[in-house]
Amino acid sequence: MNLMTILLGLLFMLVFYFGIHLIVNRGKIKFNYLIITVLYSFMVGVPVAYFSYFPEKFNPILYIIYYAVVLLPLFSLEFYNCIRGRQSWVRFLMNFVGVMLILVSPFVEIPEKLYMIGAGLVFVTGFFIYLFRYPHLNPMWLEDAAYKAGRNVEKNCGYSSKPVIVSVPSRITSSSSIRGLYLLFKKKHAIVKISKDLHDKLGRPNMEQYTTELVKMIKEKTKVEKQISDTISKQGE
Amino acid sequence: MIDLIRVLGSEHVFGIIVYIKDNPDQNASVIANNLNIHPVTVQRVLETLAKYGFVRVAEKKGIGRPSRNFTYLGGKFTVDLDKLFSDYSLREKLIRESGNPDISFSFDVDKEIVNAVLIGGKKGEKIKLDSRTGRFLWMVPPPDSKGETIENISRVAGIPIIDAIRFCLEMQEFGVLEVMS
Repeated sequence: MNLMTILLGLLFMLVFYFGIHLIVNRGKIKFNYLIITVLYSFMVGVPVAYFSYFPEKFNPILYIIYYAVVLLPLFSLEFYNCIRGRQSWVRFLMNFVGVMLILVSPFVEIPEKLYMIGAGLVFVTGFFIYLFRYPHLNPMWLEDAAYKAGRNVEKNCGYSSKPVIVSVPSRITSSSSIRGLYLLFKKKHAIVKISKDLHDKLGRPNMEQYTTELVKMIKEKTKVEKQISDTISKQGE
Repeated sequence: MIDLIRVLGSEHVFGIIVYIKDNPDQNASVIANNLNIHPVTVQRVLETLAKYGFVRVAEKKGIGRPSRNFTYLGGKFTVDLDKLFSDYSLREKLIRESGNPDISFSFDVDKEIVNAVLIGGKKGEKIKLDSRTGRFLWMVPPPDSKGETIENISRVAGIPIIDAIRFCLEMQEFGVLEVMS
């Protein structure tokens, strides 16, 4: 394998990953988030791909240490969020099981290796479909929505560091955040926390109107959830 | 006032008063042991009576935390029904946060309560809230919103309406929230 093949492989990974994010984020690409995501994905993807091509260079101890350092913070945070009831176990398990099956593949021989990679890819695909269904879980889409929601609301209003409660029910519990904004969807309502910096950047919007508008935008994108909200509101009437 | 009325209506108040009349300068723990009542109940009753000047408190320093010793003083208590009922009429008033830039909050997103109100930043005054008032404040709408009635919030937060009104008036004095006219 020469240098050109490696570079082509990396280029293919880059284009493939860009394409996935373009679909998952519904065309809302923010390069600051994309660069971090791609770099992290390369840190995860390149070693396992390398050892799949060069199994004779595989060192299990270094491999385990490397992935423990790279993945432990991410999965610990996801696991903690699940335990605290801030996000669903489905999301965590699809991501965790998918990645683990792929990472364990260098430890086994063909054909088991192929089965594990295949099963892992099924789980990872499921995870990306989940992210597509709930776009607010993607920081790039959420940042775009956060700025759009601030356009048509009353400006130059007061700020509070206390989160705002929006009475909109959700089928699943989920949490997501970008710089200056934290969202937590619970069964009965949504909790939105805005930082002072973001509030100023948005032109000091009316917090009640802004959070309602943002949650409404998110709900319009999650079709299944919208149907449930409509059914509940009809029952209420 | 309502806290005193509640304490005077409680089950153990007469036993506690008779005991400290006969045994002045005692702390809550000793009284609780002798009367076989929970120390927290004794402490609550005596602190409320002390707040209205019917009991004297003397702090005694020693090993560990200082001991608060209580002595019975007695006195008169007048109930201002007009004030009590005028406060109650506030239950239908709308409230919202005032948006005061000097006010910030310490809160728990998972429990959905406000733990404390910080006035004047981290080095300023800190008002710690109990779980009921913390839950109530958590549900107060943001600044410049339409607001929500005290009655509705108190119902959802599970706090008695009269306590909610007192709490709102207290928080309004601190500039945390505003009772809308």
